[in-house]
Amino acid sequence: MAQQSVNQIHDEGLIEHFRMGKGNRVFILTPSYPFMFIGIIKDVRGDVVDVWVETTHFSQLENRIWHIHIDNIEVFYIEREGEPEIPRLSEDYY
Amino acid sequence: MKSLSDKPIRSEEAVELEVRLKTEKKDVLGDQFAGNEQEDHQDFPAADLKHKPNLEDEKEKEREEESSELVSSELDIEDELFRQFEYLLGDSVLVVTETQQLNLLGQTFRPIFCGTVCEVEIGHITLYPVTIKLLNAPFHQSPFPLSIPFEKIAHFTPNFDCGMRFPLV
Repeated sequence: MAQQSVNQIHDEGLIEHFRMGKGNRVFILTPSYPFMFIGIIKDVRGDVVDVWVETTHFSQLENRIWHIHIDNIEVFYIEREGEPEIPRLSEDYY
Repeated sequence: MKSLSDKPIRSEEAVELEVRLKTEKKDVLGDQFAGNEQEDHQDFPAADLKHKPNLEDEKEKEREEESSELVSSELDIEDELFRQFEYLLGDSVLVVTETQQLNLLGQTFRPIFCGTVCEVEIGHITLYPVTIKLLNAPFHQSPFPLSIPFEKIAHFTPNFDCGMRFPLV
């Protein structure tokens, strides 16, 4: 029981972190296709984050809203003022 | 409520304070909480026997308060991962997450990250500077910090030299 509640607190803390990041750019890696999203957090509803995606691996999937299950996010970064920015893909950073 | 010096039954706030101050005593406190829980269970049947509605309402309120306090203090005690990472702030750690592989712009790689813990929040940690162990670029430095959800961390090891070479197969 106690173990479960700690996991729930982690999940809720993560959702709250995304909620605080509304309006900021976000970088997300997921194990599921298409594996990477870069875009702007539009909203957080339940455990889903709505991202206006400007960059993924494939241009056909870009410039549209993606609803991303937060539980499925493996690694991410939400931009904040005064912190490093997520480079634009045009700058060819990888 | 009894005074601080009274060991067996101390006030919830006092216990929370103690937990924050003396993390190393958490096991002892955990036992105490187990004891408190038992006492609570003994209280409930007694309350149920009383059929006066007003009294029951009051009892219920008390019970709610007690249970919420119990939950919060339980978490203070049991969120060891959070506590440990707070302790590791500023240290470099090697973190492996649960999935088999990730994909960065067409390049698949194992989710192995090495970096300095720069932020610890309720649901995640953030590493910066941080290297991604890409197969053909095992010291690839991410241009921005990376956050990792607690629930995705499969295992990690503290005080790891991120310049160390090791096989990624």
